[in-house]
Amino acid sequence: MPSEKERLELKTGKTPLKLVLKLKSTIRDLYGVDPDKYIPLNTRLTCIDSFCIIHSEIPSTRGLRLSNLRIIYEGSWLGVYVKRTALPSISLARRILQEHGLRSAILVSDQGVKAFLYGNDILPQSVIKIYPSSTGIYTVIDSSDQEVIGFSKWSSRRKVYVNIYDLGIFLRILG
Amino acid sequence: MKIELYEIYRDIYVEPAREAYEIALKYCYLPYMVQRYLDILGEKEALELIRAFEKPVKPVVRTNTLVTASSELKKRLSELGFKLEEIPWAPGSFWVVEKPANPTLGATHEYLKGYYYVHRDASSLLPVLLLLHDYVGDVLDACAAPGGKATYIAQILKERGCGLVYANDLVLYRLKALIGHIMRMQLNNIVVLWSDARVLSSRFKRRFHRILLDAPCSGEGRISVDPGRKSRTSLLDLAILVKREIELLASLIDLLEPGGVLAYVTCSIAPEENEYVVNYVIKARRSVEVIDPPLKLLDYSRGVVEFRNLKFSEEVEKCIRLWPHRHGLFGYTICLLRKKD
Repeated sequence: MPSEKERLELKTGKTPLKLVLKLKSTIRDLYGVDPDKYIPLNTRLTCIDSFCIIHSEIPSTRGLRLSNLRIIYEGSWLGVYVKRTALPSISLARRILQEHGLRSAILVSDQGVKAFLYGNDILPQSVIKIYPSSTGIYTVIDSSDQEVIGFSKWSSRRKVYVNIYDLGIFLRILG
Repeated sequence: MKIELYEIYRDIYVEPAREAYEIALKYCYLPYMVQRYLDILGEKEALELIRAFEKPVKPVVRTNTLVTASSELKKRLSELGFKLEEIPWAPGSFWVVEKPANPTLGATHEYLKGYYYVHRDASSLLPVLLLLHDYVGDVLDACAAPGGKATYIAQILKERGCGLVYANDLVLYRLKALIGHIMRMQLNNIVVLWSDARVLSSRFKRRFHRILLDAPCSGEGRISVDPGRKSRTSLLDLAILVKREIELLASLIDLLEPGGVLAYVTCSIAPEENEYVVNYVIKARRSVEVIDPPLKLLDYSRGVVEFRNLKFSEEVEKCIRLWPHRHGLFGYTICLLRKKD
């Protein structure tokens, strides 16, 4: 039986237009900014198992593809496609919020941050401040240093901020 | 480059002496390895080496200076209970001399936020500093995963204002970790390639001024963190590794620009995997020469010119050796090869 390492599934290619439009729409809805300023014309998609990364294309690599070199990642991390949602990357969200101030965000206490980074949801009592979101999706901010640590979605049924993805992916998925 | 396995095996074969068997039995090594230590170092120093392998090494935290200042990182990790000591020859990097039970270095919020990279040992910083001395431009890291050196190179190039890192590896699950590090550390100047490094020269339509070849090796220099390596590599396995190392080095030399430099690196102290490989390639390819390191960051040991009945080119003395018992680091060998103009 093949080991987990051997069974890894990889897909790479140009990001489908539908997905690019979804990502741009999310950025516009979340932050009220022009997404074209942040998402370049040519982007690539890398899916490792079910986790998909949207990243920019470095123009000088086009020739490499023609030479049969398999490029599996390049450029800046722009977004993810996870749980059927296209979301900006943590680094892109950080950049947008630095430029335009906090929007569609929740400021979370230390206890909430710890739970969230383990992949758990955030309880309302861990939220120090809410910056309203029209979509129900919130950028999660660590209150101790104002850093973006992931994304969550408010569930009115469960009364929690459901974890969509967080920095812990670097250990749980990409570790 | 075509080289026969039996030819290598014949060259490196050794019949260990009784003394080597006795020491090997006591410390659980393969006898041919101990024979090698006795041949190079003599009995007293060979035993010092074996005892040094029993001691733990200090892990290293390298600041991602693109995201935070090293003083800020030191402050934050100190608050978590880590005691850090600056490495004098690698600015922004620290030896971790004390650590709390929790959290581990790879699970702090600071780590997840991309503030630093964790190296098992400081030796892996050295080839990057030597290869990038006074250099700005693209770099090929031919066997890059999981990415300690590739992310370091990318960070330095970014600070210097330009240059891309082409980070290649053959093993996909290790490349996954590399991609994770690139995203975590917010680097945007790395191109990740999935290929056998031996075919890169036929695929790239360009040449490089700097290439790093951290060749897959026996890992004999890392016994302190992986004691299984005392007995994992038989002499035949070693010959197979050497063959691949020669093939890798020979093919990557084709990717060097005239005047360009390639760093051939292994975490092994075996002359078979280092001086033997470099000697073989420089003799077959007269277009490259071994050069002295451009910086004296440590009191390096020099390359081995004579080993049993093998006599190598005098040039390989310019290779750098790190010995656990002399330098307090992993066993490591670095040879810088320059393509003649």
